[in-house]
Amino acid sequence: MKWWLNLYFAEGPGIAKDLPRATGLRLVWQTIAREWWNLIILNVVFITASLPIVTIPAAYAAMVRVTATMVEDEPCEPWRDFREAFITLLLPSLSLSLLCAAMVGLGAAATRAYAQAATESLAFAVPLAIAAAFLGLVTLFTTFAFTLLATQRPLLPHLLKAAAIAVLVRPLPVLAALGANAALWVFHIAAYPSTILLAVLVNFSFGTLLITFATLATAQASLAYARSRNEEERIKTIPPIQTGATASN
Amino acid sequence: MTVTIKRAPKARFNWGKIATYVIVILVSLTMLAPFVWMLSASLKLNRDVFAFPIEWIPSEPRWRNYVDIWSKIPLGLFVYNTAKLTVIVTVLQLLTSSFAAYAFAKLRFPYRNALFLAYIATIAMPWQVYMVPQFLMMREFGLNNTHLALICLQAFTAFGVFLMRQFYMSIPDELCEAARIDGMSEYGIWRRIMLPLSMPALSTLTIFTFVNTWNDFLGPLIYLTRTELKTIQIGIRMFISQYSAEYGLIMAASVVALIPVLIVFLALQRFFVEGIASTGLKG
Amino acid sequence: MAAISLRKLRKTFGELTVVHDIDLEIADKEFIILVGPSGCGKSTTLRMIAGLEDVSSGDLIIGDLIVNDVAAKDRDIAMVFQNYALYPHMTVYKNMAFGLELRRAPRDEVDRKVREAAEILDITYLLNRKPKALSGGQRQRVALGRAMVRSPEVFLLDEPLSNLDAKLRATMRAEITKLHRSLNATFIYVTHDQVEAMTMADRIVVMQDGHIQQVAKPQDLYDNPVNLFVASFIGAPQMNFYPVTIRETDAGFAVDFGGTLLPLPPRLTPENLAPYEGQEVTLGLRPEAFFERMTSEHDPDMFAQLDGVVDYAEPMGPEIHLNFAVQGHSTTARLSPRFAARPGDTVTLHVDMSMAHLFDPKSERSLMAGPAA
Ligand SMILES: Nc1ncnc2c1ncn2[C@@H]1O[C@H](COP(=O)(O)OP(=O)(O)OP(=O)(O)O)[C@@H](O)[C@H]1O
Ligand SMILES: [Mg+2]
Repeated sequence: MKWWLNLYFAEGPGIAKDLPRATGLRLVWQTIAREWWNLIILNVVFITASLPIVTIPAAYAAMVRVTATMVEDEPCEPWRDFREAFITLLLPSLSLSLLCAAMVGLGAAATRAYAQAATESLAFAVPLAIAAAFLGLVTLFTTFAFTLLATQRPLLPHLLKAAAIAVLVRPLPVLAALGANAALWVFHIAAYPSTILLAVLVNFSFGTLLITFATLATAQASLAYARSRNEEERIKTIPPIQTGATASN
Repeated sequence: MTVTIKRAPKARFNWGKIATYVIVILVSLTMLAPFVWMLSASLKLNRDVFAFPIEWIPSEPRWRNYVDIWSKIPLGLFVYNTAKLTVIVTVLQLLTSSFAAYAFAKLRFPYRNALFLAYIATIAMPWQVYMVPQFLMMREFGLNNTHLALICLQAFTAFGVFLMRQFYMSIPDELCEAARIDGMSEYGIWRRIMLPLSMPALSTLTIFTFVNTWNDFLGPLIYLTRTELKTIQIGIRMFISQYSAEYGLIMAASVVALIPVLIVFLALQRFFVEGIASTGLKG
Repeated sequence: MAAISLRKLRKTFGELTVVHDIDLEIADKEFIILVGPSGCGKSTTLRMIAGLEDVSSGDLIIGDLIVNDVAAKDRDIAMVFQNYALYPHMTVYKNMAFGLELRRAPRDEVDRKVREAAEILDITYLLNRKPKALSGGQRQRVALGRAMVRSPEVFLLDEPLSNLDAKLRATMRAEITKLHRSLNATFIYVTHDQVEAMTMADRIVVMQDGHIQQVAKPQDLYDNPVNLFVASFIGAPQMNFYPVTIRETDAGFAVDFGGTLLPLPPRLTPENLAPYEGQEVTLGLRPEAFFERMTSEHDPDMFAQLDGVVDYAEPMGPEIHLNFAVQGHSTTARLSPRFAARPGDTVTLHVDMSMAHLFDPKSERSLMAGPAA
């Protein structure tokens, strides 16, 4: 058993103080390596908190909050932080989710209608493209809006404005993160039921971590921009595109 | 004066090593043979099981054996019973052992070492010596033919306490003392400091307990006579009737019974093997 | 207020008495250092103050409360251990926050205190790391931080620097001194490193075999050791000792060292010396009492010459430690590095007898301290 104790008690190499923070995928990897256990706990907590269905938005927002703490490399305690965020975000996240659901629903309905129409007449291809693009943008908007709500709690007008700006400024990392999420779930379904444990233990929290990575920095920069009143301040808060917390390009 | 530098001769062909390998391989084969025989017998008809010379790979494997075992006897129920007993006993043993071990390793109380020695000494006493009085006692309590009897008997283990105590002894006392100053109760120290640190010891103990309880034959044989309570190990005996025995089915059921044990062992053996290996190296 | 009194404090392990009825008054906000050879009971004393060991007899008073029966967690103390004793499975942040959380302190207060302490100790960048990856020095800081966050009245430190390398130790010494000043708490610090004791302490407690030998300010301890043990324990290289006989001469008392008469400083009054007239006592001379030559600053009345045969010399850089034998008694002197002497040479050195110490060879007490109480 000594090896195990050595693992714990032997003196480590030390951590350099001014180590530059990793960026991009490397940062994702570091975070996962450091927080894997918390991610597992978070996933289970999320599933439990989502059981009453109406609490799903709050549970998601709370999970974003916790993963944001992880991304920022701040100490987090999934249990406690999740509970706190869940309670404070219960109603706001529900309203936001209704709003977003309405928009996404609209986009989805339109896309579907035009898709059916397009099979009959090619003339509908253009509105179909527009509807699909709208659907995509609204989905991105939703992810940004939730990240903003969970991490910053801004006023509604600021939130909407900032989310809209963020979608326009940096949509690609979020698309990649959403893609990774989709891939994760496709894999889970394809290999079901042997991957059931995967879903129970990591799928949600891990997927959310990726989304948080992709949205956090952009969302915050956009919010600062949206909040600033006059032009001068705006110029100062031009979104710092090259900040670390982005999943990939 | 010039010094000529010579290369030290290369090691010669090492016959000793070869011999060791051969012996080790032979011993391993001998150990594996019954297991392989069981596998092959589980795919045979009853009359072919003892055919000589042994047909290691059956020409017509009888996969039906693996279907029949579930219908001929209530094997599903037996598996459930065994799993229930094993899981409960294992969890209880982990809890009681580590709890007691914490007291023996980290708390000071009068006669601590004497008590510990006395407790450990019970390992030396074979169960067969006191199983009958124990059985009579349990029957007095009205626990005959219940799973509770087995759970009560097996929830405590001197070996587990010994194992966990040895592990806790190697964790620095200062850790507990720091926790005490921080304001933790002894129970809290056990739960929040000791348990999280003792994963390898707990894994080792899990392997031992799981395998032992799962494979336990004598205990269930004495305490469980009603069919609906039986475990696999005694349930399999139902393939043996007064005049005949279905060896093919017995072997198939045995293979099935072996699977969980293998899974647990493989899942946790890292701790166990690495633990033994690296203690040897690092001293 | 956290003045601490030990009144006839005793600790026994079965038959073995490890701490013998010690008395010690520690003032509020004082920095006290316990030194002594290994096994002399320093840690045991500290652990009794911490509440980790029961008091066998006597009273332990913190503030205005006898705390013999108060649990460690209720004593308003924090302790830093030699091997740091960080919880390996918790992050640095959690390690530091744990004590406060167990006391149900509000979340933001915990957070503020942890970050404050981390800021002071310069370990903010480690907060989200586990101790596993930390180096010894970093672990040491975390251990200090863990003690600090609870802002206890009393800090107990048991050889906190002994696992660090020499350079780091010097830095941490300075930092701990600084911490003591800014934290406004009583520090009790155990070490067997006399450099730590001399540089950091307000007062030093020298212990031997479970007894307190002397309690004094660092310089006092060095200048006026009360007995042979303290004299030989404090100071490196060690004080040199010689058997001498006290003689009364026309010019007052002097000591006779193998036929050479050496003068005695006025510190040693006739009352101190008269009872020993004609008797053998132990003369103690620190290595810096030896000089290659006298200068105008020296008082010629206090000087004497001693001849010795050089054994070996240890160059230390700014000085050399010359080991030589004076009348067969091995002696170490601190001299300028330019002093050239080869083994076997005979050298004549000047001794400044104003630095002399005299000890009663039977009671081992300094003659200046008077007879044993
Ligand atoms: N639990 C114990 N049971 C029996 N004897 C003990 C116990 N703890 C300490 N001792 C003994 O008490 C004596 C003093 O121990 P202590 O740890 O206080 O010494 P120390 O001055 O701190 O020495 P060191 O510099 O080596 O740390 C030692 O002889 C030690 O063997
Ligand atoms: Mg000690």
